[in-house]
Amino acid sequence: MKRAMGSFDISLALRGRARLAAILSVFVLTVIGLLLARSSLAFQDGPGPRPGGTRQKGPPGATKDPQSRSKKRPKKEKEPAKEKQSDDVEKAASDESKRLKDLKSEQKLPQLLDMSVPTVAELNRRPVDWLVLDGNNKRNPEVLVVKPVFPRPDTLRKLSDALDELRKRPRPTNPDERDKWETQKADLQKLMVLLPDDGSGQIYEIPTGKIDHIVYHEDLVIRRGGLLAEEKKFRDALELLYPLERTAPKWKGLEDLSRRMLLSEAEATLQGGDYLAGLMSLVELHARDPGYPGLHGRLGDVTDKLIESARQAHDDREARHYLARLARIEPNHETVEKWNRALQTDAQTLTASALKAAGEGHYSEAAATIDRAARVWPKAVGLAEVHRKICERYQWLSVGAMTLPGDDSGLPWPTLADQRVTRLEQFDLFDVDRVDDATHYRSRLLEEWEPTDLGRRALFTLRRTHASWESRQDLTATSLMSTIRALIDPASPAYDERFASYVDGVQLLSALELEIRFSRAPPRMEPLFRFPITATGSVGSAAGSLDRSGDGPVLSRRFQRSTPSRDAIVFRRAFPQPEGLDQYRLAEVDEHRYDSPQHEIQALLRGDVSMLLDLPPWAIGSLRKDTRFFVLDYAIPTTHVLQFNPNSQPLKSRELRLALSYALDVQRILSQRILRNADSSAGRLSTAPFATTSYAYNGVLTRRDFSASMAVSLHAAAVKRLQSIPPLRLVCERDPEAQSAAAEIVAQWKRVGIAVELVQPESLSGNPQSDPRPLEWDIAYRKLRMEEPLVEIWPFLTVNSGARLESVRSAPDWLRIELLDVDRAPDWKSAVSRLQTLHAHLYAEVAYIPLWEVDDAIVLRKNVRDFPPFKFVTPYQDIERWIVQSWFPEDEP
Amino acid sequence: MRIGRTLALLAVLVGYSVPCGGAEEAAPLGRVDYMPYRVSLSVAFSQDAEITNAYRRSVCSTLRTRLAQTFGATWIFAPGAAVRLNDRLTPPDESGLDRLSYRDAAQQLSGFACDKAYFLTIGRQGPKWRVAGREWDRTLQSLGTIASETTVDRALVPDAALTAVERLFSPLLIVNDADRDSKSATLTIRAGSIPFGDPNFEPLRGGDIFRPVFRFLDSKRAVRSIQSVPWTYLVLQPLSKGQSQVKASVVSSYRAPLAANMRRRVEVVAVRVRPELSETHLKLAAGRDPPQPQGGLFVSISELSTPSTGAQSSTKPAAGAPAASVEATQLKLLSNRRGEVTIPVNLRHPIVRLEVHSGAAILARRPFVPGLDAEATLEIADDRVRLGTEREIDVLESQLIETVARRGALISRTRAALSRTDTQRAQQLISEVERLPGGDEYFAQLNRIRVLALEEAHNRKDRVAERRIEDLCRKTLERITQYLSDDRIATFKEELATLTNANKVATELQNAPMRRAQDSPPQNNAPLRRRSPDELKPPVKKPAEERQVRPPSL
Repeated sequence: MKRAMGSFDISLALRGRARLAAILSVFVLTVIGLLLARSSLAFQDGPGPRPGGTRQKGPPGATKDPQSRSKKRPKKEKEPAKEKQSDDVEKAASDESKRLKDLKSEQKLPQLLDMSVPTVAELNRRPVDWLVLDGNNKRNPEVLVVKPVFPRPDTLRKLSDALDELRKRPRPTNPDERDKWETQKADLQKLMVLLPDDGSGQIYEIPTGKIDHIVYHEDLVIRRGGLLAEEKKFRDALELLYPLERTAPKWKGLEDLSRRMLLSEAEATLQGGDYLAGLMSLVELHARDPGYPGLHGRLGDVTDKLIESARQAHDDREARHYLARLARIEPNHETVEKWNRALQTDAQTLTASALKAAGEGHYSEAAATIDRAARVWPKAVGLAEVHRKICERYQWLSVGAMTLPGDDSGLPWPTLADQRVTRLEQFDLFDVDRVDDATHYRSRLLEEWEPTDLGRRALFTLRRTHASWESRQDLTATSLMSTIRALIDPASPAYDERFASYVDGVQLLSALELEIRFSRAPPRMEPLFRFPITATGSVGSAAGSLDRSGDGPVLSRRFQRSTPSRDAIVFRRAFPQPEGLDQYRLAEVDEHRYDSPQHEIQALLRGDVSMLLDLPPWAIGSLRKDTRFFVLDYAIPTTHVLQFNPNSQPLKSRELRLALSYALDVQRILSQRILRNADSSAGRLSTAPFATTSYAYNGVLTRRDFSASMAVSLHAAAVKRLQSIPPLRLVCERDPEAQSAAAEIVAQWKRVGIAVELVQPESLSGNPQSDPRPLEWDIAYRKLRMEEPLVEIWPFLTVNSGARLESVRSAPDWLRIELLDVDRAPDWKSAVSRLQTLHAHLYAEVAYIPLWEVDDAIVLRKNVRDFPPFKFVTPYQDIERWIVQSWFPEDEP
Repeated sequence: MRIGRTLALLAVLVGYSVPCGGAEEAAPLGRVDYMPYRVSLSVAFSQDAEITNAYRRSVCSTLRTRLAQTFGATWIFAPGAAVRLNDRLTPPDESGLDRLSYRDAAQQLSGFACDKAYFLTIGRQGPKWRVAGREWDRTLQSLGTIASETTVDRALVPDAALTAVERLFSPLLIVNDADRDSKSATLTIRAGSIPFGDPNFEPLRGGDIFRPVFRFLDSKRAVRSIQSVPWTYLVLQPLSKGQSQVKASVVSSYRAPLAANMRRRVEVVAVRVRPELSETHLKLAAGRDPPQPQGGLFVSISELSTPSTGAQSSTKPAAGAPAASVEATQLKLLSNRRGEVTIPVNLRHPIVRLEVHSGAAILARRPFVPGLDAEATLEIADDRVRLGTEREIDVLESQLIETVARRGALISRTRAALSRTDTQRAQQLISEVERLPGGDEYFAQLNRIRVLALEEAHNRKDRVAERRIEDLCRKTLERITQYLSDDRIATFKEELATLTNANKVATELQNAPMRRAQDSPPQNNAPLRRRSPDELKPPVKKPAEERQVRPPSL
């Protein structure tokens, strides 16, 4: 650009300075007139006639096109050519000046006071500078709107300084250098600008002397920011100013405006009651200017209110967080000192109360109090020692879970949460101990169980006493006998058809011995005897048992519920540990509900819980590397399966069941919704409702591949057969992971034209007052861990607690007989073989839609020890034996 | 009227005066209808302060009078066997009756020549008096079920005892003849020609149910063995008072249950049965050594209409029995793991038809009177082989459905490819269709199932199962033939070949050196050419539904 101008000035210099000055002045005026016409339209969107329209080709004395400039540079050396060119220029200038005089009279530049600050959109779309021209009207000068000028800021001063510097240098003697010097001098006396709406890129020169000052784009941004702040649109203002703070943080007025705005924002949010947002603004302001007037006091007030609010909500960690936040920026603030003292005093008071409660034998109360003290002020003097002492005597474990027992009470089957708590509250005669290629059992009650008479009889010998850590009472053979008799008595509500088909009778041999007579020898005895012991003479059995139901009091209790609330349940030992033990074990389990895995992890990291039960695989990955935690895999993966209601009329059509199966892209749902990682090995597709590693799994079966066209064909066939298919109802438990997958499943079915709606049990619909109606459902999304498929497959298929023949009434006859055959298997090998055959037949019959299995894990803080050294079958396996060491979060929140 | 009463009284007096030992002799030879019952009746009183000796004697005396008034000459008591005190029943209550066996009762009755004997117990049950009794029958060599009556009034105990005896009394009928075609039998009522003391007393009514019993005699007419006819009942047709010969419908699961044994040394006796219980546990078992309980089978219970079921019947269950009476016309019960079903008594239809189902087959169809016995056993054929075949075929059909659907989907895609003249894709899709398991594969699978099942059934010598397996396989074969015929693929192949040839010809024409210019008017467009009526019609568009992909109906 400069070169173009230079070539033009060189031609003028050849004709003499006086002549040059005259022509230039005329030319400059002309240019200004033209520019004024354009600039006056800069912020006017109306089309209108362009007074300077004839100047589209450029004024003779203004600038030259860059292309023409490059062409003319070589001609600089040839005098005749230069002469000819200067003649042309002179002629053009005189023509332009004559014409522009006329135009100028028609144009008017906007005046400064009439100019409005551009809007945010305008500022973002088209940055402009305002050249405030020097004129007669000093109070309201004319303004020329141009594209951002350079150099900036202080453009005029910088140009002037450069000019002065140039003048101080000795005048060159060499003609070439002198020309160059002249060119530079002329350049420094002019400001080259572009018009905002000029698409041709025409450059204009404005003599610096004609410019009073420049209002830069940045100034306009700051002004608009100020206006937005006045309108309390702090978010918009911050967004507007943020780029400016990044590019030109030292721009005059920017910092001042930011501070003012932060304070205004803080005040506005505080007035709205949002103290946290107010604190954030104030902290930000503090970071910029710690001594800002009024900031100190406001910081104290806001922090005070926040701490008080957190304390009222019993969230001491949050209170400490606000306090620490203030202390970081104002360590000597009076509010910091005040709350330091208050919290410390509070913690010491609580510690004293805890000690007192422990001294009186109220250990659970003492534990709760000392835990509270640790959360109020973990650095309190002597707290750690007292905490350790109380925790050694009364150990508790806080557990985080996404579903609590009873959340899905409207469902006709027990969820994993229900099963978990049932196992915590009671124990069976035989419990599953380990699962590898087979299921291994153990009994807390029995010392020996010996089959005799070729398996037709069994002698049970009960333990005389129990270990100090066990939470149970000593039971006699009488209790066991009455329980067994109730199970085989058809008149008893606890009657168990399957059990009764095996057990013929029971005979008491002594207080600790009894003999069971089998009508036929079971392939394995232990799975049959998985029931709790109930009180003598009670008609019910297995209250809440997984396989059987009853309403009698259970004698084989472990833990009992106390103080249930909406989001937490506390379980305490049914039989507390006696005084004077050398080593105490876990005494209390507190389950807390969290609505997402993220919140569970947050609670774990904050120290609110020390164990997580149902974290999905994608969330466990980060915790596996954390050395503060154990990540313990379950022995049995969690199987997800879609189950059909045996009483659903439409689903009796095999074509429809097949259509439902083919319509699902199960691999995609698994990758996207469950694992959230296509490469994860934590989940795999399955063909059974039990684990792929189970003895009952028939590995020869191949899965049905996803095929939308097949689904459409089969659905059409089903419609043809059934005439019409009402919308099916898919019921899903409350678990967020299952809900997400279920929503995707419904969407996939919809794509092939199968209408399915997602329903929830009455208890989940938030209307506890109304009588829960029986849940109507066609398909169920279930998550399960089948420990012993031999005895659990029947209850699964019938969605029933027992293995009653009446419950398989609607099943095909061959399936009913095949289920009976599994029960009647004479030996273990036959049982396994029959189960695998049954698996194949069920899959062929589409009795359910198997989805996938996922390797879930338990996360445990490392202050817990003495848990089983093998993979967990149930979350609270042998929990009475666990030792929880004293630990509380001491980190600064 | 008066003459009738006088005659009746005379008959009673005559009957009473006739010595018991000569009762049979007194009857005309071969006239069972003139042969009265020789009866013995004993009463055992429970130990109670209110039951004194005088009261006992009073009860016995009154009861004897009532019996004489009611039964008249149809009953005669052996000397000393009339209503007497029983001190041999231990304990002297209902449980003692329950323990009583035919042999024990026969021992107690030694010395008394009687055809029927009644053992009654009288005792208190709270504020009520309870009379219970049991009938002993020498002809059938059986001991009947217990019937009981209660009363609150001490003085009415003899009347309650009489009512109990009336209920216990089972008249004996001799089957004279049985007609196989009409399924009816002619019977003679023992003592049927002798009038009862109480003319209103009607122990037999139309619709009463009898159980036929064969009495096999030796050359000396002594009873060699007694055998009841299983699953066979006689339903009495309406009869009039004083009628000694009656007709009854034969209800049986056999074609001629009585005719086969109507021989000289075989007596066919019918004894009335009356459901005293509210239900019967029927056990289904297969095989005998040992019997295998058949759990998980459906047993349907439906009414059994006989010509005489509408008539008034005295076979109606006892007052306390039908607590579980069922009004529904059909019940579908499922046998439990022990192979048992509990069949309730139906008030309106005491005799029912029960059918045992196994899958699509009916294993047994029997008439049955629930409430007669607490437990009964029905022996059925072991249907495992056939049911296993049914399962295998079910699985095969499931695979067949999938194949048909997959084939349908591929064919529709082939059709779509053909419609847009994408021969390559169509060829590819037809290849995929051909790769699917075809009819031959399914035939082979079916044959394998069939042969294995037939072999097993043959080994078990189960001809019925063999026939049923053949039926099952035949039906499946028809389905395979219907849905997996190769005609459709052949049609598509032809269509594809035509299209391919057409394309080929078009390409060759395109490249022919002497081909006609494209702008030359085709012959058909000659202005003066006559057009056929078909050409003048607009092309008929297929309805949208027809053009859509239609899955093959399954």
